[in-house]
Amino acid sequence: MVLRAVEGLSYAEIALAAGIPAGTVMSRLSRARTRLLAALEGGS
Amino acid sequence: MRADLDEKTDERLAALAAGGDRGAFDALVTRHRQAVYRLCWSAAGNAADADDAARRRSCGYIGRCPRTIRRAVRPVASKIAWNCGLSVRRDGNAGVPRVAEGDAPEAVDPAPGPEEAAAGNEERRRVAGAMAGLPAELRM
Repeated sequence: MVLRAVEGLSYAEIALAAGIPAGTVMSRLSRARTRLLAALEGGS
Repeated sequence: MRADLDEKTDERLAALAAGGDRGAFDALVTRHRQAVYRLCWSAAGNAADADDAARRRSCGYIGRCPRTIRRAVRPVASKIAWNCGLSVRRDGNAGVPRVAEGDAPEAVDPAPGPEEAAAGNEERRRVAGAMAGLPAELRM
């Protein structure tokens, strides 16, 4: 989330930085967004 | 810092740094300092440890992997910063000098009014809390 939303890196750049496949980057981002949304909606 | 270095690309600066040009190395670190600091902060969990992590990274890690830097400066620097932040969080910061207070990064936003600031702070706290609840692999 930090690398994508704050630093603006592409999926490929994040994959390189984290040493994981681009598909894993996308799935992790999706899970992170879902969990963040749930946390924010649950906390309001 | 040398003015001629400002116009060079990251890749060129990294190549120069790899060849022993200390000025190019300093220019590279300065150019990405804010981004590295933000990432260190996120990984380390607080400002003081982020300072330590950023300082550690700029003091040695980049200089030890010039070939990697040449290939992709920013993603690799991000990974290094992240790992440094995690390392500081895990191992503590014994023996690492603190960054002087006057050397702290500048605030991103201009000062808003009191009500706006309060609302913004509350929102930031909520988002930061939600981010802190994510596992490290998702937060990165």
